[in-house]
Amino acid sequence: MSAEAVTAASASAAARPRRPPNARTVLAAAARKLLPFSGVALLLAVWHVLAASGLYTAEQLPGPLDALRASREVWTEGTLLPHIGASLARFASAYIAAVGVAVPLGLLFGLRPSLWKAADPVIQVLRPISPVAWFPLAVLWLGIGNLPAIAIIFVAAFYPALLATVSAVRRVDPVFLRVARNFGTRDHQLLLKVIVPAAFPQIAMGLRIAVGAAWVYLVAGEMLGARSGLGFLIMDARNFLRTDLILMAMGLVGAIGFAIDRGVAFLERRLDARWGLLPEEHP
Amino acid sequence: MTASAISVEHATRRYRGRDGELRDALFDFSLEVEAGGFVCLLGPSGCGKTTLLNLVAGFDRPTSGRVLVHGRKVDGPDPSRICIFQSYALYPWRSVLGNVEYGLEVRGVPRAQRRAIAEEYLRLVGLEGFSRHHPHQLSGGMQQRVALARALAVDPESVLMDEPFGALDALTRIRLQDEVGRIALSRSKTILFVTHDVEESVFLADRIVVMAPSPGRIQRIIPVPLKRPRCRTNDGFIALRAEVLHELGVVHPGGPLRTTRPISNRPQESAP
Repeated sequence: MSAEAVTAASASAAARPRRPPNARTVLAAAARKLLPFSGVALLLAVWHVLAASGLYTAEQLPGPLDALRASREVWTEGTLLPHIGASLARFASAYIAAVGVAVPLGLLFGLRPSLWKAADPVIQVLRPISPVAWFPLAVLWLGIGNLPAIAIIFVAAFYPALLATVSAVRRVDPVFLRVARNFGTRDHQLLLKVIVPAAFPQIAMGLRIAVGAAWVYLVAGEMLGARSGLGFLIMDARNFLRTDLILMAMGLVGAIGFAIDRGVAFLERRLDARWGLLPEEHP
Repeated sequence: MTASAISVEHATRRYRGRDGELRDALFDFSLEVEAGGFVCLLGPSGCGKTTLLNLVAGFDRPTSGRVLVHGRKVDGPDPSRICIFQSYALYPWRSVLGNVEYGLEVRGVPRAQRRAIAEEYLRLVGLEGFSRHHPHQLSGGMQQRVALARALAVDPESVLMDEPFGALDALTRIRLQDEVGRIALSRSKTILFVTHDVEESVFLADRIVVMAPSPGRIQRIIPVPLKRPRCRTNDGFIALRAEVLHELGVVHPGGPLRTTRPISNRPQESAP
């Protein structure tokens, strides 16, 4: 049935001559491309109008242009890139550590249902505790500086990565396992040759969610006495009442988070295409 | 007496249904399949065809009775009995070649050798040139060819096929039936083939085991004496097809030939 549908569709596509694009369709296409930017432009405009309205003082709400000037200031000071670098390094190490623990643990729990039955309630009780709630203990146990920040990001990334892996393993198509057993796959081969690759697209989806969660808690983690990073920059600017710097750093956190998410989404799409989970694009 | 390739002796498989009632998916079922034989299991859904196939494959065990392969009791799946599924069950993360190599790989066949074997079987099923593709880039019929190549690559004694062409369109199905018929003949594999397509069973089988549901059992075994390669349109084929349809209760006695013939062949409507 599907094969017939495909041939019918391609036949009708071939029968329809491709018209040269006229001005109207070009404009419509351009408008569609510009839509995402128009949202951002609207946000900036509202921000600018609010700042210029005099409703708040310049210390309370600087405009977007003030934030831009602030970014030029830290840029010329040469402190911006090191702060970004420090944040990215903390983020990366915490994220990699979280994934490095969560994925193997998730594989184990996914493969051993009885173990998961025991662990599930523990995870479900710990998971709703916001990473922020770990602040006091993180400082008590790990002091201030790098480690508590990394721990907070770790906690944020850990649960989504773990839960996605467990569910991915449990949802591996049983027919894949049948085929594996049928061809005489040994237990030690099964994990790497069948289960991990079969579960990988769903694990990857969990890893993407974990990236987002980790980045969200980066700023919070860096408020625990770190001496560098975007979170520190915000705390530091607050102490000097440099609201323009705060907004600049916030914007930067958002932009970098967006870029990271897009990057991971791109990798995920490549992966899904390889696994055949996305329709191939036919030119 | 030499042992049959596959021998099912008084096998019963009892399940507890969703309503809590015990049901015999298969009841006191006995069947012998000689080496190189091609047996089709034909019947409506719920008659235990797939249950039987799973018992022979070793995915499942009988509640009572036993299943022997060359006189040895089946106690689990084995590469000497490869299953082919309706859903193809190819590994999407592997290339076509990687899929066909899979069974050889887990067996520890060296890379160069397993590549050569896999390529040979891809040629056999007419898919040379697709080895670097991934399964999702192929049509359903091509995917099932890959599954066939994957099964044959480990040189199994028997191939157990569970409605392998059920998801394919009619023309693709016919082409694959031709191919399976050809391969079965040339490679002398023992084949157990589950289907609910009457024509398919008449085209492929040496014997058709017509099964009946609740409990799953043999209704009748119909031998197919037609010479291979078979022609779907000759009288012997059509007569046998009518007989099987009749056995299934789809066609009533007293005019099976007329009702099952293609319209253009009907005597009263032919032109000259």
